[in-house]
Amino acid sequence: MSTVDVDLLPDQRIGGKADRLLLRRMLVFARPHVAALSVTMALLLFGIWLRIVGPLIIGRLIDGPLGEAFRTRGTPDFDAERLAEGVTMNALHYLAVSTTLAVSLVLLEWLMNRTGQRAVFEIRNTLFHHLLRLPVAWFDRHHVGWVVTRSTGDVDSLSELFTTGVATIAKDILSIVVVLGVLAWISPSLSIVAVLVLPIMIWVTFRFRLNARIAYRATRKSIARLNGYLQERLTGLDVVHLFRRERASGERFGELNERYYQDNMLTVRHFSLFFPTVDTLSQVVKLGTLVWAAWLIGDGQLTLGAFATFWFLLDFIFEPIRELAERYNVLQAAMAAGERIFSILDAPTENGPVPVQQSIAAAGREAAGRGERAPRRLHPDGSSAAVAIAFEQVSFAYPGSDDVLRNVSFSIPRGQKVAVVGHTGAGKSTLVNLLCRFHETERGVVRVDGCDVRSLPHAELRRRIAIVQQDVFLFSDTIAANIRMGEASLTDERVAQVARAVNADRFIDKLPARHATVLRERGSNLSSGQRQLIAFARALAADPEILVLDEATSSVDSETEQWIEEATATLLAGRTSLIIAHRLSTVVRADCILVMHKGELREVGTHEELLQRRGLYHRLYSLHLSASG
Amino acid sequence: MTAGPFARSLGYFPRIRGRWWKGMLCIIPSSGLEFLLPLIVAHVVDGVRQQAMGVAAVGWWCLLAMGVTLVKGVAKFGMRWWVTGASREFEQHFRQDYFQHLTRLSPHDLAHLRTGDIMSRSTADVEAVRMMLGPGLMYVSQAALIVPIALCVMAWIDWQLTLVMLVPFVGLAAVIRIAARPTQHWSEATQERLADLSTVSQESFSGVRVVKAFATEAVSASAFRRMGQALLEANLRLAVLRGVTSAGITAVKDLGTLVILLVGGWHVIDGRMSEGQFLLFFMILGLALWPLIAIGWMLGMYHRAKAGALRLEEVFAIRPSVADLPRPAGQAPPDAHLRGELEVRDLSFAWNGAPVLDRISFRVPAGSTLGITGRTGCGKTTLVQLIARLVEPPPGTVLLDGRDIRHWPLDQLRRHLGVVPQDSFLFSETIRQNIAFAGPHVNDRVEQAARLAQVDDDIRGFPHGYEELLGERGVTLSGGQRQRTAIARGLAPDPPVLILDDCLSAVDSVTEQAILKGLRQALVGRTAILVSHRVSALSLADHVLVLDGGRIVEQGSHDDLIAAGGLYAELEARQRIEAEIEAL
Repeated sequence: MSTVDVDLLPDQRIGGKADRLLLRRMLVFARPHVAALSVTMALLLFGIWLRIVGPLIIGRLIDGPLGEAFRTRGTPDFDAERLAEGVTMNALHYLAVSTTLAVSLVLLEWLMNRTGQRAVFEIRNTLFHHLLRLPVAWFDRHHVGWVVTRSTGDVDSLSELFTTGVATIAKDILSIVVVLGVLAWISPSLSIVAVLVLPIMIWVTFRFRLNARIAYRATRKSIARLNGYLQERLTGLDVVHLFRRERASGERFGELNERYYQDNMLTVRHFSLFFPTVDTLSQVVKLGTLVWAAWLIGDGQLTLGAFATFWFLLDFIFEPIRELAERYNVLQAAMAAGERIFSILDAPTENGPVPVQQSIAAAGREAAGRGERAPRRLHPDGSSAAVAIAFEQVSFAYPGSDDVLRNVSFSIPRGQKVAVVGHTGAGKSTLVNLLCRFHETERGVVRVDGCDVRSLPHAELRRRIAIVQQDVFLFSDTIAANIRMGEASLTDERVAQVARAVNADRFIDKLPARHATVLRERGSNLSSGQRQLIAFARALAADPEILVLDEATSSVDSETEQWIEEATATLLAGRTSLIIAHRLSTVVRADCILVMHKGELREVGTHEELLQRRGLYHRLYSLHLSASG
Repeated sequence: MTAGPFARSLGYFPRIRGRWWKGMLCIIPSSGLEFLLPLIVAHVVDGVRQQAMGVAAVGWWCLLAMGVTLVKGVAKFGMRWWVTGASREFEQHFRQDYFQHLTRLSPHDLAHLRTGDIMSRSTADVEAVRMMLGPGLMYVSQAALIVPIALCVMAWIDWQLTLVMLVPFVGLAAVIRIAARPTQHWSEATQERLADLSTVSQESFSGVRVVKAFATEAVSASAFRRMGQALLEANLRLAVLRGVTSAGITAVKDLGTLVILLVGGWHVIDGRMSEGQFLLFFMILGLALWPLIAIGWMLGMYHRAKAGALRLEEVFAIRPSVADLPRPAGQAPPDAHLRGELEVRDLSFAWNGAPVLDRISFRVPAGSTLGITGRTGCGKTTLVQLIARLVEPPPGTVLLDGRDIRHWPLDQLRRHLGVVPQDSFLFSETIRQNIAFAGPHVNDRVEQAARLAQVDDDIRGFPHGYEELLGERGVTLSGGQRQRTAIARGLAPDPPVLILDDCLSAVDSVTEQAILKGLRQALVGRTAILVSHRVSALSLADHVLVLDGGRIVEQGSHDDLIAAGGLYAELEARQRIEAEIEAL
């Protein structure tokens, strides 16, 4: 286990057809911001021009008033006042330019970020929306941590592309081209010196970036290994103590730590070398131009002011080269992130309704579209169906494993309570997964109210069925929000009422903020019994036609046990229910019991009937009796 | 700056001081020589202007300047290389000690910290301190050298202009100082909102079944959207702040340029300053500004480092709850030879006030096997942890060979005890390394132990056999294989006392029988405690204790207990029925 996701690091991959395709897909997200991006570009260009003006003014000053002062000092032509005025005029010009530049910089930063952040916002929402529509099976295959990283970290990397990426790369390239142009205009022969060194500069920079990235990847790998080791030793600290491996573990950690150190030192060496090298190179170039310029000035081909302009403008070439290398890395990281994001966006979402019974599906969709609760009872002929749930010769296997359900058939008449019993691995929870269409039935048919579940829109199907899971999942939100589950139409009174109906008020009322109490992650500030009661309230608030109850096995104190038993009765009253039962009381009271064993439905009947049969149920029953002693 | 939170970090200085001083010494030439170049350029420009200097002379001056540049480059390399290197070395030593400290603590000492938290201290916080003590100090020292020299050089040429130049310098400090607080505030806000956002996605994805079951995708999506909006706003604020700060820095630089243009220009006309010196001022402005900016981010770096150092100190402040105690006066050190008699005497124990064990007493004669059973939560595992002194027992309650285990040297005690813990945690190393976890001295017993634990065949079935890696990069073992490997690991050191904590729960009944057969051999001549839910395993024991609610409710031999018809007999009946159902 490592905390650092090595896959997140930019790979050395760019260019090629796949990348162009990827880039085009990403640019789709930029389309709504074309106007803003154009203004950004314009401001960037404007900025380049403004920055060039500074050195131009210095040059003009030297060739103008200062030069004249130099030539005329001591002669009658020397007019200090007029010359000083010339200086002031140039300075004012500079003031105007730099003020504009400052304003445009603020505007630019704001604009670039606004565009970028908005694009990210859209991408993130699109991604999140898509993720929620992916089938449960997809989530079974992917680590939550991995998914979260995609929707946060990767989206952020991608954002760089819009905030600083594309625009600044364009700016840097343009800036180099424009400045080179100006340099050539000032003095073609002098600019040749600069142009000659440019390739070396670019080579050094990109060479460094490549090495630095390789070294960086090595350090990320070694820190991941180091962290993985640390995490594992922490998790298995008991074992380390039992086998007296404290010192040995320390030594191994030391080796990994040393490895990380060495990798880091490689990075340090690259960086320590790079900055002084580039610095020295650019200064050598500048000194070279100085010698050449001295000759040109002496020859009268160049003025001192023009040289000063040239000298200061040289920096405007070196800087973008350095930045370009930086951007290149950002771009690669963004591409890698984009690739992962699109791989999620390409994952097929849950199947929509299959056109088995078009009219029903359409009716359901329409109802959902209007934001109404779908009609309670839907049946092909419009009347209430007599059979609420039916499994018709259903077999099922999870990908890559053997059948967990084999040819299961049963039907549950409306209003009946049906308990499912069986050992672990008998296939009980798979029944629920298929009923709620968390997984797709492939062989056989699962019907709700006579309709094939695959023909119903998801929202419609799941509104008819409420499910209380064994491992209650609570959100770190208020208790009321956890009961309401997004159904804004539920009043506070109604929330309190359902809580009371399932005995949840007994502990909620003791909490400082009562229904407004914010739960910790996964409701860890509640006991497991309390969490179950909230799940009951949640299900009751949804007021479903069909209830699926997966009873918890965790032991609770006898008082809570009593509350849960009462609440179960309240919840089940007047509803069709499918209960994966662990409590004997629930089983005994059921209208019908399905006994599952190794994926097959072995026995069906009431408690008395099944006991009389003295089969599997009888054995399970005696097992239960002996367990509860 | 107070040394308080950094006291521990500064303690590492003697170990890295060679590099550190070398690097710091390099700062002097690298900063000082920065000024030589502009001075030479100014001199050359003036010479050219006054036509006093020929191209040859210019060439010589430039060669000199190139020499200076090269020396400066080397000094800069040395500075970065040594100072950053020293900081990396510090980081290495510091992290090593952090790890060693952690290994001395028991999991219970660390229970209040999440693993992720302990990890991030080892990475992010150590890094923050390193940044501050290495590159941070380097930049500050550089600034402390460059800025005064810059002021001196400028004042020497034109003190009036220099005085005016102080305005932008002070202005820059002000800009950075003013922007620092809101920037920190909003970047924290951004971090928080990002964390909120990942909490929402984390929960929506972990609870995806609930979200889907209640068809609340739209609600989750809108909550996500809302938080995204909040993040967007915080980010934009931050962007504006950054924009204003960078515009402020640019403005200050421009103000400096403006002052030089204006005042410098006048002074050149007045003849108080040459044109070369005029250009020199621009170059010095460029030189002196960035160290000032660096000081700006040093402030943020300092705050992060301080917070990090305090968080690290929190972990270092935890004292191990189980450690070697001084031997009581008059007690001889334990013999090298162990008889292996274990006794628990009137042991009561509570976790955070919740009683778990209530006056437990029993004796395991040397060479005999004790079975312990009971429902989940009856205190079995706590009892094992107390006997192995993973958790500190009350004085005089657990005795090995008549001596309180607290008075055994920990190392010796654990060498005598072989414990197979309940959760059979294995490390992502090779299978051989896992079984020989006790150290190289058990290397030649690995395969024998694996055979006893009935895992040898499984291991030989893997592509790389005993050298197969476990975990992400290797094979994933089934629960049963994991348990058997853990048993092999416990058996490999051939300990005189063996404690098996419910280590057969995940193996099927056929394998269980095979393991029990192996164990029967292995238990000969050993004192053993066998914690189990399985009656089949407990039947190996000479004596069985049944725990319930932290108390011993039944005890006797397997046959006695069956005959007594109590909890143990029920357990036996239940397991018989279970076996029948399984066989159907």
